[in-house]
Amino acid sequence: MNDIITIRNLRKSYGKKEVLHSIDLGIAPGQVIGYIGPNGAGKSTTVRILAGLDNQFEGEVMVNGFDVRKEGIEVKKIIGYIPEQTEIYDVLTPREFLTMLGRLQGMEQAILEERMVKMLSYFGMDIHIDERMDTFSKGMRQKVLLVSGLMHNPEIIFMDEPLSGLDANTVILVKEIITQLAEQGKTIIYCSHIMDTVEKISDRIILIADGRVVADGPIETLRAKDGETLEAIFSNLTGQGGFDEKASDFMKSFD
Amino acid sequence: MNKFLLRTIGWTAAWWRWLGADPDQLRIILETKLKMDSRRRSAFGMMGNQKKGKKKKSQDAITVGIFALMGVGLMLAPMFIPHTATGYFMYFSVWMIFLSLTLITDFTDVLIDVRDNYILLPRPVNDRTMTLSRLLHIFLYLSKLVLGFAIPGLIGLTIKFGWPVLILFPIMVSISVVLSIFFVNLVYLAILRFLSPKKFKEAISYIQIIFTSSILIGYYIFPQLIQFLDLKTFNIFEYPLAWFLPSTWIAALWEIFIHAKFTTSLIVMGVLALLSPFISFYLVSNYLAKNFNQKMLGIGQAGSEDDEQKTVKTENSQQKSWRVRSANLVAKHPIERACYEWAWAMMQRSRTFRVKLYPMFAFIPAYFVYLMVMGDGDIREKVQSALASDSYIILLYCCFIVLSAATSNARFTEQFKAAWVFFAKPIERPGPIITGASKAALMRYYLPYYLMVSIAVLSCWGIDTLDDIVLVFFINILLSFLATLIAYRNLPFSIAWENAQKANNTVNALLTMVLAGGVGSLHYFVLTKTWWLIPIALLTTIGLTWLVYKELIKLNWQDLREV
Repeated sequence: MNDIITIRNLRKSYGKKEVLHSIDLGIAPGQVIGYIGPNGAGKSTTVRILAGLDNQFEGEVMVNGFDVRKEGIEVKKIIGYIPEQTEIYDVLTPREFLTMLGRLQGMEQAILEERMVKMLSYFGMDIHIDERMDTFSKGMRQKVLLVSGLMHNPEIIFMDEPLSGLDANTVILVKEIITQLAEQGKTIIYCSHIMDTVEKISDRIILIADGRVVADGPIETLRAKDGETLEAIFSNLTGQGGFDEKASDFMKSFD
Repeated sequence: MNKFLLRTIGWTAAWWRWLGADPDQLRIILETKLKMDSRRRSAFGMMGNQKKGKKKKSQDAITVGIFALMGVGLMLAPMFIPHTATGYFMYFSVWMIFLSLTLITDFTDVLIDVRDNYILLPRPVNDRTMTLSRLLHIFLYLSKLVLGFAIPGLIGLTIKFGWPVLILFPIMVSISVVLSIFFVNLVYLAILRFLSPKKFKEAISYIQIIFTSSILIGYYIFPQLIQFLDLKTFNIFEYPLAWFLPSTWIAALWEIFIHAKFTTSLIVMGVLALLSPFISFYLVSNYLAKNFNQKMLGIGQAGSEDDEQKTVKTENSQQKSWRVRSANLVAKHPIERACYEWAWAMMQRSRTFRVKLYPMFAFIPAYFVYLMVMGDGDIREKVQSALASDSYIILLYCCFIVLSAATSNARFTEQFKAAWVFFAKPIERPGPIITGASKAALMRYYLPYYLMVSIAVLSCWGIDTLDDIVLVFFINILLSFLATLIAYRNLPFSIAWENAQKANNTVNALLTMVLAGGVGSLHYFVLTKTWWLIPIALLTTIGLTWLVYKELIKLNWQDLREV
């Protein structure tokens, strides 16, 4: 099967500092990718490039056969992006914010209105639909962003820490939604630091450290090679470990 | 200088303890705040391009220079007005109003910095320490500006009046600064006593609007007022109402210490001047600050009692708001319509945007009246002659200020990072986003304002003005679209307010005003004399507006200006 996302020799620099070093990846349609790595490894940068938000890179990035740099509009028509930061125009209400985004996406007003209300209601947000978001908690904003990334029914979904700030019940709901989206054949790139969630929902794990892919494969393959759990795999491959000793040393600081 | 002032807190520890504050905590909090100040952009320092804080020192110099210029201008009052104390009254009145305004407009964010609530409130820091740290923070920051302002006065007035000025003048300036800070705090604390924390920012924004409007209007009205006063014989102490003003108390010190005048009223005012800074410190720390910090906490938190009032009316298909109806009317392109409605809501609800724009509504009629009545002569005659002339043309063109201010300021927001949404959506070109916002500014602010002005013009100058009203309406729109095409090629609500100078906001605004002035002059001197040119000009303007609009809507991502 042809890959729906192809990344060849992707390099990205901020000034003189290269943060992505020659990344090569191919992602098949319908895969749920757990894209993990330590803080500052380059996960969000990769996702921003894939979503067409950052054109300043070297290499080739194709999404559904479209070059993200040259055909960004075509890419944006079929993707949903849920960013890590909950940056929104918070003087607006969820209805106003989502209406604007839906229209920019080209959705029909009636479908947009119906879907927005329905989706918000599943997150218990329909009662807040006409309230200004400047009074919202981080979790409430995150729910609005989740709806904004999904309501146009995209083929490919980029989720950067989508569970950030959500309560336990909503986390379960979102995990179930991701699973069912995958069953429908959606391709999902899922960035997170919550290893057990990544482990449960991903078909394939891509571990990135210092801008390089250090592990790539199904969780079973990685387990056989690098550790029992994804947490252990993560620690081993990112060169961390000895947490017991570190914690003991930390406690000694009080002496 | 900061280090010296911080050390002073250690030397005066007993005083701070008496006020109920912990001097060690006070010093640490201040030290941290000043460190943060040195690493962020200064509101006063945004006179030019700022890169990585390298120009911090020169910006400080510019800021001090501006205040020094103001000091030079104001010191002329005590130097040349025959009754010197009256000159001092004027000097300190203007200075204290300016300082209070500066405090309210530029230090609100410092005062209601909610980070204090999260960082300091969980620590064992008492209310008085926190309140006094806020007061001292502002006091230390302002001391640089105060020095810039006072030094010219100190030098000039010492030369004019001799060495006693060296002792008395710094005392007078210090009193004025402390009282201005006290006054501003009093306003803040009073608002917090009577309004919920959620409404605090709203109330402050309206005070900012009133103050800015007053300053803009006062700038033009004050010189006219001066003309009415006979400064050769004017003595402020002859007006009992003025005895209640702190600037009169400060001026009284001059009479007492330099001219050795000891009337009862002068002594009372002198004592008030000397004691009021201490009394104000005492009042703030012992009475007014009691619940201040707890109330402040509410400002940064969600879920307060007036959340319900923040609920925005649902706009379903049966009950469409004017925003939606006007969008359907003037914005046909789907992206343009979406952005029209969005920009309308943003303009309506952005506090800073309102503070920047609303004073213009008051400024325009005030400025027009000023233009009509300025100079010597009888005011009634001047008004008669204005009504007999084509002066209304000026008023109509002045409305461009509203449109220009709305359009240019609609590029800025505190939530500029949210502009990622435009880059994440399949939008081929940003032109419709920009035209949507421009049209929203036009329909929300320019159209109603211009209508009101037109009604006033029709009532005062008659129906014959109708052709000019229609023509100028379109010319102002054309000029606004042109300004957007040439100078304001940015996505709406995508730039931080602190980058307004980088975006050449002031320069561009001035240039567009000059352009409007030029076109207005042409209209005044040519079109009003040749009536048949008006329809030709109208058709040309509408045609040009259409062409410029087409250019705007075609703008590409590459055409946008980077800030």
